[in-house]
Amino acid sequence: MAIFDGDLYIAEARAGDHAAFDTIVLRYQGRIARYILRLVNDPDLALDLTQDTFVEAFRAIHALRSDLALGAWLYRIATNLAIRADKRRRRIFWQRLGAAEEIPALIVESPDSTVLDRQLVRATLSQLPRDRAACLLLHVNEGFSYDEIAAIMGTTPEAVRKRIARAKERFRTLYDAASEEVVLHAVR
Amino acid sequence: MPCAELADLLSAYADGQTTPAQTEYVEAHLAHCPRCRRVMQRHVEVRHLIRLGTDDAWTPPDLSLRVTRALQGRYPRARQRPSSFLRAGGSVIAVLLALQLLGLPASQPGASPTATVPSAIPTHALFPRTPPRRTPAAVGAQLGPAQSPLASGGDATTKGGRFGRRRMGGPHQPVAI
Repeated sequence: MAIFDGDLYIAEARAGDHAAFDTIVLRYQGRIARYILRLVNDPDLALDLTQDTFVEAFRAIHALRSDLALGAWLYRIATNLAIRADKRRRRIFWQRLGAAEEIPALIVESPDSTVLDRQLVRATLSQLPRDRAACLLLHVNEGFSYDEIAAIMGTTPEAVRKRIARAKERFRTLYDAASEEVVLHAVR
Repeated sequence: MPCAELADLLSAYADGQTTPAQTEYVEAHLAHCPRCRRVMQRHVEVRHLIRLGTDDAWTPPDLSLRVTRALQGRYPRARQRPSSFLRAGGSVIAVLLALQLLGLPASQPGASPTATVPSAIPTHALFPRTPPRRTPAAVGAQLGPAQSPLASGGDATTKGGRFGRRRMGGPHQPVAI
């Protein structure tokens, strides 16, 4: 299996090699798109933001610091864009995705328990503060260490540890409340 | 350390992100604290739930095409970079301009090789020497005391740029320079 040398592709992309940048896009697009989808919970917006991530990366590839790995750098751009887009969306469509409003619709649409669990998890994740959700997803789904997440988020590992701990506690509280709501709705 | 202060460490321990010393401390605490064991178990369950809830391999079918199309709008900028020949020409012109501004003759004996290049082309043909900008005092000296814009009031009474200098508070009289 060929080893992907990010530095080599970055150097070539900086020199104006379009094929090298296309290779970077092809390699990371799926991971970045899925990560953004989990953060914004909207496939159309996730598509737009993934596209924006790579356009932004192309513009700023000359400013890429050598101490930040290519993947981490792309995740940083994606996280910033997703958090900004989510703030904008919440400003325009003021909404609170409360469990009480979400659960009945989920039950009607998805009688399958696996799908229901998945939708419950996503609805719960969407209620967490974005920076905390981002830290949680970067660790649990993307496999980054706390130190790497600190570099991506531009903060300290200590702050990441606190954010993830708070995010897990909040997630569990909201998830338990939503699950109870599902049970009550099913009984009725 | 009280249990409340251990909360962040328990989360990091569940994630495998504690240092060896922290791991040792947490494990010693967990050995005699059932409450913290339950908290730690909840952290493990949250990890499991999030993994299960977000494990779909969603990949938009046309993502690569969209990204490529969006980037094509950026690529021309790289293609439109001036060629090395043009950049070299620009450098020569810049050197000429610098020499001109310094008032040095382009074919000065003993000058550097780059300075001798323009000797083949007369620099005054490329960059005709512009007349020196006239100061109000110079204009006054040329026009004499009657026509000078400085005759009645000096600089404080004049306003406008180099193309529209006129006196304030009087009829407009274009200055013949």
